[in-house]
Amino acid sequence: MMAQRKRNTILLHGFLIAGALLTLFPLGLIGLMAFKSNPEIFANPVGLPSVWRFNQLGEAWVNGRFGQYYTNSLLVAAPVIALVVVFSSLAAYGIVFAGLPGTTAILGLFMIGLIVPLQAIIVPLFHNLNGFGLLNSRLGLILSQAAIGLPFGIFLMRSFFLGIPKELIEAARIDGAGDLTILMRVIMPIAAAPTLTLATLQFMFSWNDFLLPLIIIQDPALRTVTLGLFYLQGGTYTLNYALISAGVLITAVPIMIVFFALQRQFIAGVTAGAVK
Amino acid sequence: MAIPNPTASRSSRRPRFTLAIAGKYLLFLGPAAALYLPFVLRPLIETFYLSLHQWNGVSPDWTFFGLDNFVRAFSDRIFWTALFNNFLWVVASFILPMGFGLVLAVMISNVGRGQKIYSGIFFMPVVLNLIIVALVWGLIYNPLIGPLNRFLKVIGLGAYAKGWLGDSLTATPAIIFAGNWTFFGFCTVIFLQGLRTMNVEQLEAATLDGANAVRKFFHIVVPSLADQVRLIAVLSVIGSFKVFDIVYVMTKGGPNHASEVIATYMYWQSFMNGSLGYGAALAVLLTVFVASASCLLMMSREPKR
Repeated sequence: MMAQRKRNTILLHGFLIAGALLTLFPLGLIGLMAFKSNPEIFANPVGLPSVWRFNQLGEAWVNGRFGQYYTNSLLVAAPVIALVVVFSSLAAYGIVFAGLPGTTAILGLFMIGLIVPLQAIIVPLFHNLNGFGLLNSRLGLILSQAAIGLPFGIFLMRSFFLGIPKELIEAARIDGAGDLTILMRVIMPIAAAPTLTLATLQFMFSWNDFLLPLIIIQDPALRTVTLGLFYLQGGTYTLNYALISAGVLITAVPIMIVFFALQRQFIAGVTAGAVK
Repeated sequence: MAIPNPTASRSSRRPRFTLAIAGKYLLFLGPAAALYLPFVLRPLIETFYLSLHQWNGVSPDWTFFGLDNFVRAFSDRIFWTALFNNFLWVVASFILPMGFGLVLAVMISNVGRGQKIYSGIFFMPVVLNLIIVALVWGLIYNPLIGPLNRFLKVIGLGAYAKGWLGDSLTATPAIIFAGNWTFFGFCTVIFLQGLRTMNVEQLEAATLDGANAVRKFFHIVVPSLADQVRLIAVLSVIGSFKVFDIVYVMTKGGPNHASEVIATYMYWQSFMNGSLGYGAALAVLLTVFVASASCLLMMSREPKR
């Protein structure tokens, strides 16, 4: 019985390791290509590089302008996260605790945004941004991404707020605390977990977003990582797989590091964000 | 809306002054509304309005078109190709990730040590940028250097080697496979969570009764994961209708519109072909499909609350 169990476990590990290798194969492939020269990629796409050309990463960073794209992505993602976290918390408080009439209807209005696909708003959004003078600007991209992230943020914060005992709020009120004080001193300190989940998910959404930067950003100097990678593939470097692979590698590694560091939040966030 | 709103949780104290109420609206809901109304709700309404018009995106006039844009969709061969491809996405994203996810989840939950590492590795493609996924798989399918063709040659099936994305028959299946590489890990994690809450006693009782692994799997494990199966089913439907990035980057809907899905076709009509009214009609149809699936999701979750 015991021996059989042990054999089964080893067998399971064997299957799982094989599955893990298959899952990682596409990434490993491109990870190796990043260090090969273009002719070597054509001669030997799968094997190890004959010489490890680490300088190709630097080349993608500088000549492929990935350094600039990184900065752009961060300059967009950071304000988006801040806007969504702050505005969602405020709105969720207004809906749950502020004792305002008509909040059910307001919540319903926001929840429409959970259901509609981005494609349903993209064309008028493009023309409105043009009208506001926000086309081809970081601000236009930031405001659009934040607005689209809000419904989920409100949904997440509200479901957490609903679980907070009313007595806690009432007690603070009796002590003379105003609404803003209650939100900042009583609620937010215990809402660290959903806030971190929301921030992680919002970071992923903003960092990986493709359609909004594609229509909003035309200036190559403003491209985000995603957009830069896209134009690298379709632009002047069409057949330079070495540069493409290097670009993919330096783009994928940070998000993977963040993922393994914040694995729990990522999985919680994506599972909760499944409604989206 | 399926989300219940327990009014009981609201504060019982009502502010006396309407001015105070207005101030609270402004303070708490104002900032969110200031972003949401102009950047989401207004464009959404405009899309519905635009779908009843003809517009080239430049001229100031919108010509009223009634339902002609929708009629046009139903007699448009490419629209049907796109819709058919969306359905292929639905079916494949239902079967492939669900099957792999379930088997992997059962294996991981039985393996003892290393559960976190395995689920982490399988989940990882979920967080990857779809552009990266498209580029990586584009390389795998590449007719010149792609490992897929090399592999076929090695195992003696070289006759089947081809440009997988350039062939109208294989383009969609190839993209679908790449897309589901980013989804099965998600299913694995969802199933793992379901397995953790499963009734262990029932399993042990079945073991004592002499049930074999296959019987236990189909008679105890699968039925107790009904919630997870339903969740993944509806998510596959929503995701399969919304799919855009990966198709756009890998083939742009080509060759000759063969791998088009509604979202890419809508993008092409709106931004490349200058038929913004028709594009809006396609967007409305897409919204109807996605919204129905989302409502199904929320309804299927209702009993749990």
